[in-house]
Amino acid sequence: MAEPIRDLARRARRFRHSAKRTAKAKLPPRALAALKAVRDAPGRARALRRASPRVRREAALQEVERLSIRPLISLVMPTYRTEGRYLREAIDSVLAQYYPDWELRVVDDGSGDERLVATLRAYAAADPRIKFEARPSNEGISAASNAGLALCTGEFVGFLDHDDTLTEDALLRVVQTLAADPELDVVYSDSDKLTARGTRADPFLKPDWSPVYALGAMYIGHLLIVRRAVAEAAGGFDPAFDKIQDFEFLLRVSERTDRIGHIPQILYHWRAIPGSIAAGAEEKSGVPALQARAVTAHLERRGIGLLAEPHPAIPHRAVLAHRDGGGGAERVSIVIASERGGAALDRLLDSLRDGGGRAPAETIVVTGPGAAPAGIESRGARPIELDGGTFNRARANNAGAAAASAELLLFLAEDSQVAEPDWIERLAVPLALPGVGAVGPMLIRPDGLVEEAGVAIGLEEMASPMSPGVPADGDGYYGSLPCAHEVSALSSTCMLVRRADFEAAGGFNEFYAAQFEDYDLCERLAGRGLAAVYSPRPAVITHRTPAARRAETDIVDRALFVDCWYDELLRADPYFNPGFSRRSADYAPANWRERVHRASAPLGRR
Amino acid sequence: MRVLIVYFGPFDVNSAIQAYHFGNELTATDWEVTLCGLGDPARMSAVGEPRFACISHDDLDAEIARCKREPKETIVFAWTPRERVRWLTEKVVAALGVPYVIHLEDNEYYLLESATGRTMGELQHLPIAEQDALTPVDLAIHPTNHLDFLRGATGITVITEALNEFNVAERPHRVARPGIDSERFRPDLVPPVTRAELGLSDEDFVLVYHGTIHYANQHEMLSLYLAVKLLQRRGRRVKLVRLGHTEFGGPDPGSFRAIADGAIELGPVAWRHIPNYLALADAYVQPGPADDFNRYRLPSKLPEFLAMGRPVILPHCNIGNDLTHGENALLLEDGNAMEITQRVEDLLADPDLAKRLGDGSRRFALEQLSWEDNAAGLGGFFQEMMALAATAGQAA
Repeated sequence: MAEPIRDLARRARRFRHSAKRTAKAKLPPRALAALKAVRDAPGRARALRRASPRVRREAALQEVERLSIRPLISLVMPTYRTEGRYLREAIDSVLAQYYPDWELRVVDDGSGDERLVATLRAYAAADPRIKFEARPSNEGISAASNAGLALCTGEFVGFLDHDDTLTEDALLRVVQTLAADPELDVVYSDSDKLTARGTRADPFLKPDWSPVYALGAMYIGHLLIVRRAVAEAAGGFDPAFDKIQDFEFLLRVSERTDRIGHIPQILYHWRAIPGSIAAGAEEKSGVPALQARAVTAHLERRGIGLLAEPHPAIPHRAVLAHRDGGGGAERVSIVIASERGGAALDRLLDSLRDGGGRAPAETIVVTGPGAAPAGIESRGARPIELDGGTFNRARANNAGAAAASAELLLFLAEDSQVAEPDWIERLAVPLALPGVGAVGPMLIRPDGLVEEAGVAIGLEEMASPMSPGVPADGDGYYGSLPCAHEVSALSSTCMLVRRADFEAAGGFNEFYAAQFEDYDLCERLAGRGLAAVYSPRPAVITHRTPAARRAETDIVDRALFVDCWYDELLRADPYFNPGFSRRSADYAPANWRERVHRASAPLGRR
Repeated sequence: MRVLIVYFGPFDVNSAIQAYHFGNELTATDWEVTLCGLGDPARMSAVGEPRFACISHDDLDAEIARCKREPKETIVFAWTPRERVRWLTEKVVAALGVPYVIHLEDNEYYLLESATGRTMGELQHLPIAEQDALTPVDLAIHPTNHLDFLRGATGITVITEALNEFNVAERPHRVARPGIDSERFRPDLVPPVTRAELGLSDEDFVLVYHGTIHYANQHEMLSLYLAVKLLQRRGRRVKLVRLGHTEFGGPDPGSFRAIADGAIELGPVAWRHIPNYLALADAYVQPGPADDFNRYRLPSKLPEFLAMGRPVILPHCNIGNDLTHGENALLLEDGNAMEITQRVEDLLADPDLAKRLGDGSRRFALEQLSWEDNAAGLGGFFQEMMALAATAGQAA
């Protein structure tokens, strides 16, 4: 079998290359060649966009023919005093869809603009898939959207703002996604902005469904497609939340379903003109307070004892806090692995003593045999010495966890330092959310720059710190620093985990000698349906420099991580969009070479 | 009686070795055997001296003409339902009006999906012309045509019982397990190089693995290399000697390459020399999980390992289902580096266990992997199928 298998991919590529000759007889030779190139190209969807419109359409129509489902998609578009050219661009982008089974429901919100109404009536007259309703008075965007929703007959509904545009393949990609997973109730895509001059800017490459992130930022945005029955059951849009009505609507939808899929492609262009949120969150006044109110109400409905408040420095981001102002009822045991003790451990213990806020139930320091620092008990710590064998962090932390008595385990590296009051209470906040298994804080360097805001997996280094080297007080990438959000992994430099979850996951895997055991634990928690969550508060200082981190890489541990999580690493990190560069988790977009290389990588197994 | 084996590939790859042995044994029991394969039949000499006719696909028309001139009770043995085999088999069947049996040796759905990057469901929804164009005819089944081909067979043989799931028309079936040349693969062979020449000491516990690293087995080969590194890190003097081509890949080719650094790589070695190189080993490991790929195949190296009289560690699937953990093999469930590490440590900790497993595996090979017995069973199945076809023909 070996020889045939070795040749399989190469042979298959050759056959595929010659495959498209027969079906395209209608096209002239140059178009045929272009179509062939497009169909054979790795990264097909992107290649399609570079081809000529005729070739793109021909290839896409063939994809439409192959769809196993053809649901009717209703698009709702509320209008109000829309600039004519923008409105025409918006509707034309619907008419240009490759996927034909759609209907457009336009509702003018009492704008009294006769030219606009005439334009809309003309579109409705020209294409029976378009219906138009003019409301007698201006009642706001939620009311208009609900009126549009009432006109819909499709299995799914989508929402298009009156000055935004869809890519031609938007609905086709949506239906392909639904065909691949018919259980989905919601699908959203990446988006970018259209400047006033019509140029595209600010791509927003989103993570897969991240319910914690959705509490802090309006990250879903557009394109949003929802099963109509779910949208109706959720009650449509709430006029009390006009300005953030789509954000608030999504929160209520998420109370009814978690079958929410993400298409990592830009299918929606958001017009950034003065007055829209796309132009800047502060453009719409009152948004931060409304947003916090929407999230708090959502948390209340779910029976979660948290509330949301605007971020103190970046108010259009919401941060969570315990409703009672406390830190939750669960006790915390701190576990510190320190082979020989020393100055770093002293610094950490001093910072714990001076940190303030709620005291931990206990602090356990695990050392090698005979290495417990003298007088450590007087500093509030309980020493445990490993009984011989090789000292490794996984083994030491497991020993500390086994000796701990509290419900929550907080693992701290000896080269870390806490510097905020109430740091334990703040770190524990996301654990109050259902489905969260581990929480890690923002790790900052002594110079105040970010060292790590969660960890992305499957990049060049297999496990890469997110947002390294950026100012800790910034917004990061669309709120990646001020908002709590799901990540694939966390470092045990500082990691809080519920003891029961830790034990059920088997604790740290002691096959790892020095590294990756923390990322491995996060993957095992994920396998049990528990997410790892980055928390912006507190910030914890780490004294391990990036250079030290690189120098310490243990290649056997890294290969062990690959062996254990091979398929997960082959796939894109769900919380780090595949459109980003794999060189670092710094949210830099992938360049063309990287994208082609990735798309043409050989298939794997297992 | 005559059997025409229509075989998909060249004459010197692993499956051809099985066809060679079946051909020789059937010839010894008065079957007239012709093996029709891809390319130059002279390449069979790399495997051995066949006692039957070998022809290339290009010579099939002449063979059909000969069969017409010299009529004899004939059956076609289609070695896999792959598309070119289907074409050729149907040509023979149409010309001679004889029955055929299809041999399944792989999860053909997996291979086709891997080759095309599409699921079988997606492929079957494509227009037939596009399916035709996408099918790599020598190496995979056609998404649609293979179904009628299977339905038209009088019987099915499978290399491992799990493959009978693909017997969609529920035709009579038989396990046609390969055998092993237990004289060629035996415990007392002398390696062609000494341990010292390879930089190995007598204290080293040596694993030998022969086989190419390719895209479909990169993960399990990573597991094997990594297990050796983990054992070394735990203070065990374990070394890996590997034969065959190497293509590092997977999500992190860099770390794969780095951990492979300490292994002794001997590169490709002619099949006839393999048994002696295997004699370098203290044990053999076939890495990998009992998953949907391994469940449906029987790596040809497993019978070779088993015949060598050393402990064998292998996945708990295919032939592993017929072995007993702790008696004649150590069976892997996850098949990852950690589990391999633990199983090798079991051997290191208990020399009696290693001896017992080695004796048990050799005994299993002698009892269950006899070419003579397995070919006799296959010949008997052919006769049954010819009789069945004749009965069905009379009834029609």
